[in-house]
Amino acid sequence: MDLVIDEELIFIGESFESDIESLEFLADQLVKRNYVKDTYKEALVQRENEFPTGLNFGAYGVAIPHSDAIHVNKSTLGIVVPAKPVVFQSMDGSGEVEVGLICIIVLKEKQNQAPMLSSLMNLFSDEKAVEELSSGNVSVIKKYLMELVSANC
Amino acid sequence: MMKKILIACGAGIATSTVALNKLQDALQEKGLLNKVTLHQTTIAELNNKANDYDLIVTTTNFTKDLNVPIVKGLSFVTNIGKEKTVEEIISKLGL
Repeated sequence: MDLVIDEELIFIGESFESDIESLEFLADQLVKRNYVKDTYKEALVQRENEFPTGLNFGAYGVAIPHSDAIHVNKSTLGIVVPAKPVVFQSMDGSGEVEVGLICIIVLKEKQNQAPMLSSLMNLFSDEKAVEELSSGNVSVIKKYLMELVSANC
Repeated sequence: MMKKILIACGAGIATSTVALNKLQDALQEKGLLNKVTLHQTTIAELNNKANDYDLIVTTTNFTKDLNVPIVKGLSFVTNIGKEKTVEEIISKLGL
């Protein structure tokens, strides 16, 4: 699978006042590096408003923003560990989720992603793993992502 | 006759894929996989496709009334309450 893990897409300690603000930041970073087209930002924000991506795991919250493959040039995963929790809306409409880890999923193709996506979700439902990912250590985060990709692609 | 399950999420990529795989595994464990076929789609296409299926599973907040039973499947993504959701699906399909 052609999915690249880019250390430059791991952001630690940025502050965001809202979920949309964090998405706009991520979209700008992705556009700048040509991972996505100019249409991505608007599509990403619109999608989040329509189908929010906050996941409430009880003890913590993770967000998995993503948009349609049509706006993507190159597949990748981005991580944001914000300076303070960002409030996202829960995917199933159950309310707000305080998110300490944002993982943007950028996929050029819908097919063949099942194993990687399942592993990613399993990772997020593992409290210990999320704790390590949220520690803000770039090499730890990169290691997790690389392992995920090599195991599933 | 095989029961047809349709799994939907916002973009039809991420969470519906995960839910489909987890449901598939769960049904296989219970020896029920050969009684169903699983399909994936986006929320936007649900209205058009719903009537061709026996059950719908969504990972988002879909509240419209369709003629087909709808089960909330976010538990497949978070792993919280997964067993209950599987039981609900099995019971709604009469398996």
